[in-house]
Amino acid sequence: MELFISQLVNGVGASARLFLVAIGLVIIFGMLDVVNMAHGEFIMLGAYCACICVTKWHIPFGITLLISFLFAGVMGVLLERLLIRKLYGKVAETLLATFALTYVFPEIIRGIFGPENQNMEVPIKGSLSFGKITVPNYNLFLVGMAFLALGVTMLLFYRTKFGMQLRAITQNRQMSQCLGINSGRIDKLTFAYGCGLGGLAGALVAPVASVTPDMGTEYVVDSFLVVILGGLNSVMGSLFGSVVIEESIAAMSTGMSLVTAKLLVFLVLILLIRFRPQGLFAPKDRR
Amino acid sequence: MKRKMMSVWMAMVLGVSLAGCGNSAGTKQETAQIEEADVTEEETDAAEETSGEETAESETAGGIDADSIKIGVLLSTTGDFSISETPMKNAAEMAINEINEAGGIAGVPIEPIYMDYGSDPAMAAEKAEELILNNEVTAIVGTNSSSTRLAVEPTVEQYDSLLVYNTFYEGETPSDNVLYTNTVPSQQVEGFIPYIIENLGKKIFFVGSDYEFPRNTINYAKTLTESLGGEVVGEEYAPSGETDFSSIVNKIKETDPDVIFSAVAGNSSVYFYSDCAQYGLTQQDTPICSVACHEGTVKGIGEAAVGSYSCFNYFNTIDTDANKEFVQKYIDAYGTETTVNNGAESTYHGVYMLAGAIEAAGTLDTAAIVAAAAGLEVDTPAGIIRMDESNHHAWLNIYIGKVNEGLTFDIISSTDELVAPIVD
Amino acid sequence: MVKRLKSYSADKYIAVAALVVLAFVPMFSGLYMVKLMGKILTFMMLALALDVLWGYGGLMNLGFAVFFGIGGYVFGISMACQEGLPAFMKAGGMTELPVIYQPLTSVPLALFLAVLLPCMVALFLGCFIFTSKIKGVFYNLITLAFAALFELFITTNQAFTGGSSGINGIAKGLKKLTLFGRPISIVGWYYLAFAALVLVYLFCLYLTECRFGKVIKSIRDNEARLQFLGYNPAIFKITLFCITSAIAGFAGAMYIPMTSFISIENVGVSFSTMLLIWLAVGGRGNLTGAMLGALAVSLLQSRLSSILGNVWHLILGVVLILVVLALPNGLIGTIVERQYDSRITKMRSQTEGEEV
Repeated sequence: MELFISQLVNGVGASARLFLVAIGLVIIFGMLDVVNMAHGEFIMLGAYCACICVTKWHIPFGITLLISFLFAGVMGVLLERLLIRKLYGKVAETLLATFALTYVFPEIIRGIFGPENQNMEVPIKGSLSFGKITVPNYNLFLVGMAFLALGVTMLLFYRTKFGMQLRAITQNRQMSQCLGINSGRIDKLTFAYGCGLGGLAGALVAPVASVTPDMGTEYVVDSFLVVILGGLNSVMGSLFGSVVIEESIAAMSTGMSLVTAKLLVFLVLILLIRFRPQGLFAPKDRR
Repeated sequence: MKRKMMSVWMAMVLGVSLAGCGNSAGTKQETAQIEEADVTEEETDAAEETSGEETAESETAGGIDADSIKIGVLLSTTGDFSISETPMKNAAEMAINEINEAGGIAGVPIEPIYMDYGSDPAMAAEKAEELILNNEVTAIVGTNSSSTRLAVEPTVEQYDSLLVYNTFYEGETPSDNVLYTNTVPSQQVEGFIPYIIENLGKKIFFVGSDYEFPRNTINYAKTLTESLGGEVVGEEYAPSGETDFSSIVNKIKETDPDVIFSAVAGNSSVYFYSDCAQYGLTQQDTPICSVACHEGTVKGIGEAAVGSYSCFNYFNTIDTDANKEFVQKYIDAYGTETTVNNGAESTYHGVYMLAGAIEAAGTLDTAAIVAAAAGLEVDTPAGIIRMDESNHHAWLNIYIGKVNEGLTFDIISSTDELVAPIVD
Repeated sequence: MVKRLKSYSADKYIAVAALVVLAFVPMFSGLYMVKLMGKILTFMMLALALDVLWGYGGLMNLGFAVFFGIGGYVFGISMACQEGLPAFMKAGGMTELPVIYQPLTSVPLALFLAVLLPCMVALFLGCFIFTSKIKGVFYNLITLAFAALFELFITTNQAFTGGSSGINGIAKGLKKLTLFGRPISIVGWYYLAFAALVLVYLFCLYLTECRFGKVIKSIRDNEARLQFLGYNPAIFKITLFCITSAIAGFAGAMYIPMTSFISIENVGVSFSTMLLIWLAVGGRGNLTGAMLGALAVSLLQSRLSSILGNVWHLILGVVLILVVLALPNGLIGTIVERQYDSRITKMRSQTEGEEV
């Protein structure tokens, strides 16, 4: 029983991590209809940026997070300008172009930093113990960051002019353009924000993950599963999606192997999609 | 009209293809490479030279009848295997350059051909074929993961070529076309488990990635543990590439072992070590004893690895002049972005072993080289090693290292004599 | 007759030319090239199947390699079982062949299953997806998730599938295979694959031109209208999905003799995406484009990695991006378009001439 409870507690940390990894993808995918296969690469860029900042330049972790976010965001702007802008509205083409990027980015990074693991110490050490249940402090920090990311995103989307314009565009692009909204600029900023969140997630997982040029691929499929579960343009949905996925895996893995649990959970989720084809937690479709 | 066109066209194409079939099927010859003979003349020569069935006999021993000895180096510097294979490729390059500077093998220089297979086993098989058939190499040095070795092996066997394999692995019925220069489970385990039980504790929890190497190693280690009076308190496997070990760590804590024996391989070990540290399993109380966590991985793990143990046939901190010279040469040539580890060293001595065997054989015939390799002694940075008389594996020194604050290994124990490779 | 020939679009001629060249490959090149091209022939079959599904049916599939993989694994395991219990099953702790693998000891049955099984999986998945309201990008993502799950399934059931090491011991089984009482050489396999490719091409050509194909294309262009006209799009989509998956499974089975090896690299998400790249490079909705795209990208991959060493991934990525940006219709698609344009201009000038 104790094992089961500590599994559930662990699941919270894992959910926070999955949510942070997926939210950037959800935004880009939900708002711009771009299947960004290179999302994992932005996570990788963020992680490298964080490792360099902390271990080479000894910048405090808090500022490092901001730098990683901005760095990935700027890379996102560049990518949007050079590539994605020409491909909006073509799902297949964006998917292929971003997939091609998964060949390019790791090789560039490998060329610069070599193939080996980058190392970064956990900035917040220690753990809380309740009897036999242990919660690493860093996991609590991740949960906090997940809520922060959620809060900031919600504020940005629902309390600012930018968010209003963005939502207008996703509802009806042409009409918004007629009303004088600079849709190109909004697209660019949204894409950059999504990439920036990827970079932030990268910096956050870097201390506990293996930072290599190929780390990006580990995150992409899981992130897409969150999208399937959470619904297309729902940030809240992806939070629920992450929690449901990680908690059910954690709960089930007490009685069986981790992989079997994962397989079963994903299988059940895909079967359930049959009855909620817009995602389990999506609001009623308005588009 | 259109349909008629189509049928004419179809008949034509099918006719051509059937003619091709009849042509090749009519030769009644057994093997693929000789079958090729009726296609082009040149192909026949190439095939005979590679298979070496007839040429070998007519050659006199002692002189190698070639301008250069071609050796393929099949290692990936792209894709996710590059982390372990780049140092191996560098080490191979270093060894080949050294041999050539010293005048080559019996006066004949080595001509290396480097092939990158993008970390894709199926592509590795294709590249091995290209090396053997197009470049006509004498031997291939390389492949790292078991999946790649197993993908390449049938090709090497089919054309009766030679593979020098330099990674610790799960052990298999030795192939007549492969020379193995790194450890098999029996060697690591026999060096490691007695030390653990004597010095670190009797209650051992076994953790591994879920594939052959960890499973074989752990099976071997469990038997030895029980026979030495130790206690197996638990056994868990995580899928290869797993990134979340929290539930396994919880299960370990339930059983409260003295030692964790880890065969978690590759990047997964970074997550395993850091999860252990985060969930309060310290290396002081329950040290991790790993058979797969080498210098490069420790660099990636960082502080969480300090105090843990690993067991290999080589560590880059072995305190001998030969090793210091080797490490210095590597750093001079390739910088410090990659780390010398057991894979790199084994590739290095693998190339030397191959060179020695070719020199002793005096021909480029595979069977002769393999025969000459039996019992061959090689002076390596890790001391003198010896190839087994019969099973193509190497007798090796086994070292145990403990990770220090500077994230390198302190050698705390080594075997007095070479440990025998036991396979099937 | 001549007029009729002239009226064919350029891609048909290119296809015939390419096939003729492929027919002569074994006579002018070494064994290595024959094996490589043989492998690519099976990729071309796979590309044809995906093109019919995606280019003509509009059903983009991010997990199509799964069906190729099922076919390959079924036939591969069958070959590995020919000489007693395969090594990977022994390593997994088995002492005798599991009951579900018993039928695979018979080669014809295995070949049949390699086609039937992907078809059945497609039927199940198709019924699941196309009869519900899952649409658009969601359908794509589910196929992606399906590929990821399949990959996970293969890696975890090591005793049954060889796990991450793939299926080994295929070569021994292949040696035992005979055709008309003789063992089949690589050249023999090459021509078998070539004949299969020609048949698949003709079948796909027929499939896309016949009544069924016309309905499929209409569904792609306007599903609502088809429904209005009394068709049930779901049935057509499921049928198309099953047929193409069966072809993919067959291609997978043919892949086995060429490489004597199959592993998760040939079933997962990244190979599935590679298939889409073939079509993007060649041009989708055009059978020749699919075939030549597979041929060009695979050859490029193989040559680049041999020539360029460790920057080849980078170069391949850049080339792909450039193709996506510069040739939205793919190589063959662009050629066909040019020809179409020039014909239009010619016809215009002719009619203008008559008027004058």
